[in-house]
Amino acid sequence: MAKTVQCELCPNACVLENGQHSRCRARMNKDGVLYSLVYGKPCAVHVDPIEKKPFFHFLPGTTAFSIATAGCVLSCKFCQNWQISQARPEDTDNYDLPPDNVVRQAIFYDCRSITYTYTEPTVFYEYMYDTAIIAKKYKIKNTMHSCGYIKEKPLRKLSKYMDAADIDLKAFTEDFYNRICSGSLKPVLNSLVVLKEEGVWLEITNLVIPTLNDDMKTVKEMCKWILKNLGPDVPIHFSRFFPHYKLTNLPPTPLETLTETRKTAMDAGLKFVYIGNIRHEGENTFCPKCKKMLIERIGYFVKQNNISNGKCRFCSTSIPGVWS
Amino acid sequence: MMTRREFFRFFIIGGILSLLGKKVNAGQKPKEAMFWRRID
Repeated sequence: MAKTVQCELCPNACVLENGQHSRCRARMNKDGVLYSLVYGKPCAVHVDPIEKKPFFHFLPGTTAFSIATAGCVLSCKFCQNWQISQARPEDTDNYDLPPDNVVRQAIFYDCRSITYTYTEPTVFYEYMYDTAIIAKKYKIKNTMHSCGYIKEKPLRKLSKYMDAADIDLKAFTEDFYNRICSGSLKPVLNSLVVLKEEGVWLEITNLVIPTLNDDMKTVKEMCKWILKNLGPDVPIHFSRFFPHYKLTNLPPTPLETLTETRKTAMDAGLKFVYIGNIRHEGENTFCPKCKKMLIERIGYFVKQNNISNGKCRFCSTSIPGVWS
Repeated sequence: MMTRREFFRFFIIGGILSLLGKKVNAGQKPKEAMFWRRID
């Protein structure tokens, strides 16, 4: 009897002989059965402001119970959590926290949502899925910050329980995904469309890295694609890069690049464009109609919120998002 | 000052309670993955 298996969770589609681990390090073929090695074993557990994810149009000012296990489906050279994302589960310090305890802890800490984040939640899919089902029963919302590198079937199944997703659109070229992340762009674009179709609240994060993905022509193309396929209401966060992991030779992203990127996106027709990882007025939400400030943020904290019942308090324009 | 008798009484009661108490789960067993197939 053959004991070779193929993982059908992410586009890597690892083919594993008996005893082999998947590329994400979180799965293993044991005697012809594929197992998750990280179920109920998070290596990171924190209570964070939801703005840290970042979600700017999803329950602002609330906290999210945030978990992650070791492993990732990609190998980005700029990874900011590489100590856990590029580690094996046996090399990290893990908690023993089964799904029902995650929900219990979220309730105890008065969190409105659970966020699957820090590394890549796809690698702990079963753990996330089971937790999300229990959380839903207790009216706790589920959100994830993902690279979107997942196959369509598992993503659609998960979407039934996922309230919001922040997807890292790392660049808009196959070359970048191949060279810098050891992945590909097309499955990520497909995931964005699937999440939109499934009615999951969607935000996008793009880390702007000097010389690698800060070409304004490509940024413009990316924004046009978002506009055409996802609509103008999807918030996009342009985050400042800091030298990390294998990209310590590059400088932090200059503020001028971030403001130019923001302007390019707004000129392309996107209504909610943010700048992250730097203190700037681009952290705030403005009404697309009357232009007044709706949410003032200082870092991850909300200083004032002028959205009432999902509408601008000044001109009553509906603001897309999940506000209660 | 605790007498030897009291010490052993606490020692024995403590031992019995710890045996009866809920065991700490030392770790989840690996869970079968949801999306995979066998290749023949």
